[in-house]
Amino acid sequence: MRADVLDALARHAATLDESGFDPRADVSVDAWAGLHADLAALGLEFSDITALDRIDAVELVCWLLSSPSEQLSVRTSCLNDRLLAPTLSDVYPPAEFGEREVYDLFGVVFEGHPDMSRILQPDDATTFPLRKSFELAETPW
Amino acid sequence: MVNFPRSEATGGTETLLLNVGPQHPSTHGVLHFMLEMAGETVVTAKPVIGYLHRGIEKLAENRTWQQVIVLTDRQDYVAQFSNEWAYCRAVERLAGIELPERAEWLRTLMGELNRITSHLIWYAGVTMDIGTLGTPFIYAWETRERIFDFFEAVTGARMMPNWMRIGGVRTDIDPALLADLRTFLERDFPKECDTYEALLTGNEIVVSRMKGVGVYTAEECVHLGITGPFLRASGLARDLRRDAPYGAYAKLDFEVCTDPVGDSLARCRVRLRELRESARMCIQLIDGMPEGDIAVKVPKALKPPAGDCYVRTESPRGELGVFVASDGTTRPYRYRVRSPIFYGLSAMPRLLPGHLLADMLVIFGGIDTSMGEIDR
Amino acid sequence: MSAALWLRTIVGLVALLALLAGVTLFGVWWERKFIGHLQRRRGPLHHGWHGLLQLPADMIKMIAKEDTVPTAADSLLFQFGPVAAIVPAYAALAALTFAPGIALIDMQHGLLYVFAWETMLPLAFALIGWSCANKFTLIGGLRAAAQLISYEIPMLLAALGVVLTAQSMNLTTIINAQTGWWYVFKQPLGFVIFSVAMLAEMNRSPFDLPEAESELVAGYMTEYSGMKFGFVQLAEYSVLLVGSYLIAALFLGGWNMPFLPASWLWLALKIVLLMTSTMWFRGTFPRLRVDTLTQMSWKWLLPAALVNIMLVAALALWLGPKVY
Repeated sequence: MRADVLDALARHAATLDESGFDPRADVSVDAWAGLHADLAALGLEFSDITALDRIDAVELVCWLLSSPSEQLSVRTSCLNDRLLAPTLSDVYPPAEFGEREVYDLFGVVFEGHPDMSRILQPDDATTFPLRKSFELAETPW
Repeated sequence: MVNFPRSEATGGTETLLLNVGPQHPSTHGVLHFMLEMAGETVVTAKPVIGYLHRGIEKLAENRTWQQVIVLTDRQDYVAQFSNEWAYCRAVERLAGIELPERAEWLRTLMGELNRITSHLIWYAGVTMDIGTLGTPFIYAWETRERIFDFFEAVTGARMMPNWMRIGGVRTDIDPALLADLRTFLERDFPKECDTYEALLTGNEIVVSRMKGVGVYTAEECVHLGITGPFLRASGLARDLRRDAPYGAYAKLDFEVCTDPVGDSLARCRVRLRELRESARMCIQLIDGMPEGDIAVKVPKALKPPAGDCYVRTESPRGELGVFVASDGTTRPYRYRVRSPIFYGLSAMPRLLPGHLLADMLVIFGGIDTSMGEIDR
Repeated sequence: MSAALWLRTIVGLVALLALLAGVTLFGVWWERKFIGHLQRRRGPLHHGWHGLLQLPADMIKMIAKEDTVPTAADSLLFQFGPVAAIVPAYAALAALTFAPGIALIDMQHGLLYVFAWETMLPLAFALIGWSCANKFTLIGGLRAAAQLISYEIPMLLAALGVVLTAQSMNLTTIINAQTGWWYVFKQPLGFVIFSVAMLAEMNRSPFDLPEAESELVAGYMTEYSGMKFGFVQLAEYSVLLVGSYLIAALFLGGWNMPFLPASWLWLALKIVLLMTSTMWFRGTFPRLRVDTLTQMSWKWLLPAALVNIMLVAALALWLGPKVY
């Protein structure tokens, strides 16, 4: 792990865990945008943003590349009663679509996003299907 | 009647909203572009996607780990093996499964052949987009048929092979088939490639339409999340097959095709060279194919340890990432695909404005869309 | 008007209609066959001899198809559009002489008459494009108007070179003036300009922008179905026929053939060959971009046509019109 990246992580009080397959850094929602702005300034590239349903919360997972072959995940957690996170789309332009997808499938609203609308589901959809609470059942037409 | 905003690009007159798609001859599926046009010039472009959303990520959560493979074929029906491969690699990494040498080589061979068929579809599509009646289209289709015949002989299916398995592959390839394929790739395929080049990059009209159209630097592409041949055509030699080798790529001698120019013509050149490069790699793979098992024994009720992992592969369209999370049961807790053209498409609102309608289709053709992979 | 003249006119009109329909049907079949073979396939094969019966089947299908009118369309103009397209296309045929003495009317200024009707077509296409209330047809119609108008000028100027040397606008006279050297050898530049401009007039590839499939679905005729589409198609093929005829008559000697007796067969052969070559282009070339298209006309063809006409006039003055 690069020293400057470690610095940036420490500055935003992120906990680093290198025991898994790839290093992961957990950070609070408040430091989410600031940490990413710092990491982008260090030249880390955006790979993907997605989410994991943790039943009582949604874990946002952002995959960054420190080199073409090295990846790390930065994660934060949004509790169910406050599914809000600052947007990364001004730091990483591709996150604009990625965050719309997370909103569409998990219901996390990204503050400051230029177009927080449904992306894969129809505009009038009301459900967030990738939540585990979503019931897979036949819906009448 | 909707009132359109008055735009400075038109000298203060109203702009025109043009809905290109979801039913349109050159959107390669059901993509929908909302274009705000000033005459024939694009002022703003907004992609609208989701018409082909099948909920594959949700479906995967309700199947066992092995059953997901059949979904990955359908995810991107143009690069089936690449998608299977990415998923299998992710699960194998999560479960700590080591593959026999031969399985890796077989997978790499199919992956590269798949790159050829996928690039041929791109070729067919892009030549249609610039207005040929379909002659190059059919030529590309013909070669693709030859390779599909091989796929059928090996896997029993042409489009949806369902061939890779967690821990290996499903069937071995007959040596006679490999010899046939080698002859085809060595003798006929380069001639076909000559024809493709003559009809595309060798055509005066194509050059006049593509040269200097949509020039983007490598920094712009990286910033906008574009990967794959589009990025390589801007001069950045980034290819996961070389940067983070998987399969048998570390043992192959190949070149990462790049082009310094970064315009639409360069993107065509890069993909056409990749065709030859892939054929060269396939020949090396056939020649050096090791003997041995094609799969390791993996329990039917596979339960990878709880945790998650992310694997990126070089699909024909760019970096295809697969993120799988397990909670220690027989079903994936989360299956997520990082689709290269999903992010490529997200760059389009920034890339397309200012171009003519005809140029827009050429630039957009450069990312080689497959709606199945975008919408999943 | 005498009864004989009436009879002759009616028979002639029916014959021309039959010719137009025949050329369209044959053209469609031949185009499918020819391009099919270019693409290493065989084209229509199953109905009749090499798929010939496909044509009546297609015709019946076209007539029987539902005739849809978009709700937002200007109904009157939408209905009138195909008529506006077919009338000039059909009327232009009247002045064509197919063999010495075989023409509906062998007009003194036949060439002018044909060009006059042909210039009506962009109006019809623009009208169709506008009346459908569809943005694709609108852009297609405007492209058609812009393209046809810009290519008409070099085309007329190139034809003027021939008129200048033949000293007539009568098609029979022009063709008869080519019993010796054809004008393609005397005015090669004029031939190139005229053929390129004519290809653009025909809306054929690589100049098929008004109906650019990958951009505009089917251009100005996107909204038409059934026989209305058939009429627009008929008009297109009529332009193809008239265009090929004019190239053959003005530059390729019409019914003349070196060392062989003059016959309408040669003219027919030349027209078929020219039509086939447009199909060849269509099967091979991609489409030009809209700005390169107009630039090519105004920046290259027009100055070249002016140079050509001055060259022809100077040579005619120097050598004498009958010699040159």
